[in-house]
Amino acid sequence: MSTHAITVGGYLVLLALGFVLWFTTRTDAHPRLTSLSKMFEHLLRYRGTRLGLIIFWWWLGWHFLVNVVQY
Amino acid sequence: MQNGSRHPVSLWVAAFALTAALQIFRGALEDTIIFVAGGLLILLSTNVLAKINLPSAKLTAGSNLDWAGMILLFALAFTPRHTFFNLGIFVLLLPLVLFMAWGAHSEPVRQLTKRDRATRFAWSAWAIVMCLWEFSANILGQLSKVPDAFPTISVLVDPILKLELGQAGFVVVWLLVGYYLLKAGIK
Repeated sequence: MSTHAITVGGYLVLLALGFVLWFTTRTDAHPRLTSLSKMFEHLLRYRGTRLGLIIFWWWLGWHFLVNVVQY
Repeated sequence: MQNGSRHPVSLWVAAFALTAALQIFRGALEDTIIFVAGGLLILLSTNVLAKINLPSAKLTAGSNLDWAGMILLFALAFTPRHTFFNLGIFVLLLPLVLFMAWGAHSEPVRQLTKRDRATRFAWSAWAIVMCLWEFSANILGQLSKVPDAFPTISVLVDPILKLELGQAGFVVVWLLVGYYLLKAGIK
């Protein structure tokens, strides 16, 4: 198996795990975990988190729409 | 990614410092400046500037964000990428979104519950592993002599954005995320 396939496979496994985590908690009925939206609702009350997320969001747009991605 | 009111330094500062270090390794000067400046701003916002509040809700009130989103959608979804036009839009956008995200409060009134903490831990663990995988691919990719041996997320996503539909789809999702962050953050 090539390193390319392993790297892409790792991303897909992590995406699948994120989906499972979101799916199992989406109704906020899980006994040990709250939903992702509830967690964001709370975390976004911290200024540091708001700024961190909005700067990262802005950078993502910058990275793909302004900068040229280096291959 | 915040360690509550007991510690004035947000974990975002550490995350931005690590990302800046990676950008230095990549030789990406602009990205290094963005992450160093961003980390410094977050650090100041939770210390020296913690008591400075801004009327951010006035900018996000009513349908202001809806109109801004529509303008950005047409400006970014159907125009060529990597142009001075895009550069100008992003330079203008940054101070606006920083103002809107700053807000009139720096910390929540309610403390985290046990379930909140467990959820934060689970998603933080997921995000950290994802970042480590991406950072590793980035570092190994630069050390490797074989092109595309260790593709990063950017390398995998960029070809999709070369398609008109891919670029439009990316802009829509990107704008929706920004809209949610600003609307939910200012509540």
